[in-house]
Parts: sequence; structure tokens; C-alpha cells
Amino acid sequence: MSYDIQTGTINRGIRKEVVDALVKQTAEASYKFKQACAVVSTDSWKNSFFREDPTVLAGPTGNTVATGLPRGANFPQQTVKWEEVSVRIIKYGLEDNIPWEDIISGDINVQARTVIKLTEAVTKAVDDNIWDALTQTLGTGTNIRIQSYAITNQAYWNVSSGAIIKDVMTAASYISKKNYDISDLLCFVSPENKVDILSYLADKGAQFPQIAGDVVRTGQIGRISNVTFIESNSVPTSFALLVKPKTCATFKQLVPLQSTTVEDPYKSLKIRVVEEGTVELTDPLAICLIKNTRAT
Amino acid sequence: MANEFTKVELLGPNEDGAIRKFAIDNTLAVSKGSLLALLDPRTASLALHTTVAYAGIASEDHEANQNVTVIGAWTDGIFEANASDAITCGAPITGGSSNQVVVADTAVASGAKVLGYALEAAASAETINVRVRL
Repeated sequence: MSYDIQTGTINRGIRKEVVDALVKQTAEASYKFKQACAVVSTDSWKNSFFREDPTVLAGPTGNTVATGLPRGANFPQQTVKWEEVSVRIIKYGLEDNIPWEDIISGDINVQARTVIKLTEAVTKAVDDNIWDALTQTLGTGTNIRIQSYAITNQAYWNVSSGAIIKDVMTAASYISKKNYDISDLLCFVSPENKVDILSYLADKGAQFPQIAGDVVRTGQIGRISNVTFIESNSVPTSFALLVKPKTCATFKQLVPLQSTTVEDPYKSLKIRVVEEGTVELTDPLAICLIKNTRAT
Repeated sequence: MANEFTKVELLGPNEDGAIRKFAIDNTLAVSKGSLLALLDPRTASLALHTTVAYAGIASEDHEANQNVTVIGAWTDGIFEANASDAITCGAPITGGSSNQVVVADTAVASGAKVLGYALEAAASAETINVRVRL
């Protein structure tokens, strides 16, 4: 040690430092796709369901018309078809081990921030999985069942030839043609497309849609023609997703989001966050993926 | 130093990476995740190269000149590490300079000179998962 501190030296004894106990830059992402699903609890690892062939039954070959049967004649035969779909529970989890001293002698609340950040990560993992399931990995998965509508002629939503409402209504008509009610659809859009939508409405001289008070909780940015638009950072810029909420898919929940701590006394604290569940894409025809909303 | 190890799964009886105490020179600055060489007696240092024995991965920062002469080192777990050269999956590894890992020459390396093994194949400068077991 030496007496090396004097006026002019950089030392907190002379230049006072205040550490704000409140951690900054804690803007938390919110995750929004679960509201598209019906959430149903389960106690089974493997969850199966049957999807019915949506094709309207017609008369069979050789007797193609199921109407106009001659009196006394045999009836034409038809058979209803289903497909069995099985999904297995996915476990999402994360943990951190915090030394005891970091909890009791820190300037900031390490334990609380760790719980929040681990929870956020698990929630995001679940949300990303729901997005992947609803879009069948952006239409690139196997056995594609969802509908899709691709915007052509480079009429992207951010160019003057873009026709946003027409595109969304066209996608809605795909769902309607499959006999689903389209009075309460959800449309998930990227932040970039949100700008496009609001600019489009302003440019066309329309009133701004009602900016919902739910914007913080659910990300709703407004409602146009019975379609509620929801902004999400998880939506790629060139896609939008139109769904019939609570009908298109079911989130089978084995374990809801929860956290626990495992204490190793005077040594460390382990924080563990978990959620278990999986998505059943029960009604893929109640989903339409809109492609090319922006240039890729 | 660069290329600090990042914990992926901490193993050991308490799943805390089996942190062991080592002595360390008061003047040495070590950042969390650094590879620590083992010196006699039970002392950690940063003198890294392919033929030294290893104490573990620093589980905490060690600030220089704070009159702190101990440091904790993770000795059991799975970590992300940067490979300084190609490594095949499952190959024994040891440390190199700048916290990187390389294939251990098991003809001359044994005991604490072998850090663990690679859990995936690596190209030069690729970050991979490695099993550290000291």
C-alpha cells in the first residue's frame, strides 16, 4: 500500500460514485402466439387426435351423382376418411446457479433479474415453437396442411402497388372457403409490416384503426374488417399469418410456466424455470400464411 | 483474454461444476471463463500451452491487486469452447493459448493435462461443446 491518492487522482474516494440499484435496459419482450391457441391441460405425454378429410363427399366413380337416384335403385357408397396426428410433449427449461455472495452482496438484485430473464427465455422458446407449428416452419415442413397465399408481382406491402387489405381479405377468403367463420381472425405481422399497414391506411385517407389498450398486453395494433392485427418480433418481415384463434390449434399443457429455487445453503442458489407442452395443429385450414409481404 | 469458456451444463454432485479452490497470485487478472493452468502447489495461473496441466475454468473474475489469493475453478461440466484447430468428435482435448482447445497428444498427455473431450467435430476457430472433466 502507498499513499497515492490525492486531488486529481481517479479514485472513488475523491470522485463519488452512485450505483443505481434498479437495473436498466430491461425492456422485456412479450410473446403473443399462445393467444392463437386454445390452451388445454393434459396429463399425457403422447397426445393424439384425428383430423377429418375436409373434402365434401361426392358420388363415387361410376355413380358420380349422389342425387337423382332412380326409384328402387341401389344407393352410391362413400367413405369418410380421417388422419391420425400424434404429438409429444416438449419440455422447455433453463437454469442458472448463482453464488450466494452474488445474491447477498450485489448492487443489483441478481436473483430477481435472473428469474425474470430465465422465464423470458423459456417463454420465448414456447412462443417460437407455437409459431413454427402454426406456420409449419414457414410452409417448409413436411406434410404441409396449412393454407398459404403468396403476394405476386412484387406488390409488397411497403410499395405503392401494395394492396394490404385486399391481400388480407383474400387470405381470409381461403379460410372462409373451408367453412370457417372469419368474423374474428387474428393477423400476426412483423413490426415492419405494422409500419406498412398504418402508412397504407393513412395514404389511402382512411381513419386510423382503433389502437387498442391491449397493445402492451397482447400486441394488438388495431382491428380492420374484423381482423385484429397483432405485432410480433418473431414474425419474419416478409410474412404475415392469418388464423382463426382458439380453433386453428390447441396448446396441450402438461406443466404451466413455473420456476423454483434449489438452495445449497451458504453456497449457491439454483434457479430453474420450466414449461411443458406442445401444439396440436387441429385445424390447419383455419390458418393462411401470407407470403411476400416484403421483399426477402 | 479472448475466447472465454461459456457454461452449457454444470455437472458434479451439486450440479455446480464442482468448483474447486485454487491459490492464485494476487497480481493476476483473470476473467470468468478463462482456462486456468495448474502450478505447484494447487495454484492456478494463466500460463497456458498444450503441455501444462490444467486446474479448470475460472468460475469468477479475479481482479488484480485486491489481496485476494484464491479463485474458484469449474472442473466438471459441458462448456462452449473455441477450437484453435480441427478436432474430431470425441477426441481428447487440452488447452492452447488464448483459451482455445486443441487435440491432446495422449502419447505425452495424461492426468490433468487432458482437459476432457470434444462433444462435436470442430474446424479451426469454431466454437464447440466440450466435456471438461478434471
